[in-house]
Amino acid sequence: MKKFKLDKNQVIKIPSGDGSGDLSFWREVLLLCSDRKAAHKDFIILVDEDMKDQVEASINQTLTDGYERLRSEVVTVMRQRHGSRHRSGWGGWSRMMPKWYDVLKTLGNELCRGVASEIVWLPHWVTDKRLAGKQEGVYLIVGDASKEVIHVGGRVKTVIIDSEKSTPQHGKGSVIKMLGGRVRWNAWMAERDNQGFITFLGETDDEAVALLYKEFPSCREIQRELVKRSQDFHISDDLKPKVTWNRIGQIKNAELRRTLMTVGIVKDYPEPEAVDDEGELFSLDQFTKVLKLTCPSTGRIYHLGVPANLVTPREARRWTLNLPEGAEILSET
Amino acid sequence: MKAYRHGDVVIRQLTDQEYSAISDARILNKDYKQKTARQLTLAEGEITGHSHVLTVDAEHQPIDWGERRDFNIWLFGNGSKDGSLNISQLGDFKVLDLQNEATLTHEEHAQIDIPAGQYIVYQQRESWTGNAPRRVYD
Repeated sequence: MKKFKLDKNQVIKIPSGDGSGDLSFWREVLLLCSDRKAAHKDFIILVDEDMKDQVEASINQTLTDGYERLRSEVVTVMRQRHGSRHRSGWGGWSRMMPKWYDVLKTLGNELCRGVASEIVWLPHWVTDKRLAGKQEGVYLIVGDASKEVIHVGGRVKTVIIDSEKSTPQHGKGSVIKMLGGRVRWNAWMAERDNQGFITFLGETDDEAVALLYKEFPSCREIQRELVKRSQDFHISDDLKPKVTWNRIGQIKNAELRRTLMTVGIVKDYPEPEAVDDEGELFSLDQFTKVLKLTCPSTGRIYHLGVPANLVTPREARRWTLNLPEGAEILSET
Repeated sequence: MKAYRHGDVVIRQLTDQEYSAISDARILNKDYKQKTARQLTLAEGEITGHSHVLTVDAEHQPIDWGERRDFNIWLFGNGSKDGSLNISQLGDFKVLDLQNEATLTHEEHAQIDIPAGQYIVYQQRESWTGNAPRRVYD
């Protein structure tokens, strides 16, 4: 195999017939890119027009296969974790992510055998060009930056090569810390810089969404997916979220609350102490009563907390609408 | 006093006294940027992404609005004092001054026609475990 020496800002031109459609060629390129001397630079790889289709197909196949394998491994890991019921003190991130990292590393190993300790392949939801640009290290960017040359059609658009494990990986909660092996991950970071786990998992099943919600209950992307699927959500009972009233009261979003009560298992549903045509009212604690009402437009059932001094559902509903005496509701939808 | 409920959004007619008090606050809006549109989003679901959108009939003048973020107040009108739609927002509520009928739509709720008039727009509230009331989020 022909070896290339990469200098600063050098553009590699791959001539025809040198085996560039072969994965081993890419391993070689990645090895070269991981050269410490070549740190902090981007490399764009040009391919001859007649080789373009072959190279593109090879990359796409490699990335697609790897991506699919990664997806299945992640779901498997989640299922295993669900069975073990290990949780960290802060939402499961710190325990989950080393496992996640292992999966990525495994994939890197398969794709780039021999250099996996220094190379991690990340799907595009983990990083993007903007994020990549902030990091120190060598990047082989196969994606938007070079789409006119190599058009990667798969979901994995960016490859980041961490050439120096000793390189400080700065940034609060930065995703890229994964590369340094110091794994910390913030939910907000995942949402801000990525398209989220659901995007990564794609057209996955309800079970995976339920598992994801168990692991990352505060992740907005997962909450959104759960709400979106709530109408037709089929999971086994052991995977259903167990919802306590204490938890219900802590959930700020009424739509998420409704979804959890629809798809989950609500413990100790109290008997209503007052019922009228406006809804049902039952006591939760000394401060709170819960008003159960039905939306006239959608027919969905919502639960709203109201002060405990309210007696009837009509009164409670009036309180939620914050209407003064004498106000007449002309239309409700 | 008339009121409309559109999902978690409440639109309640203002009394003259209330509107007068709010009109005084509009003095703060003397320098604002102008934009033009016929639609205004009154509320947007943070998880569902669905919006309660107020639209003025196409036969009327387009809506221009200005904003002054330091006071968090929005004024809506057609660039003149007799604008077809004037809105200011103070904290958690908006004040709506409709010169013409407008239509309120949402992806999941039926359409409501709001006649001309002065209204206050806010969202339903709730309170859990003795905490201060907060708006309902969806």
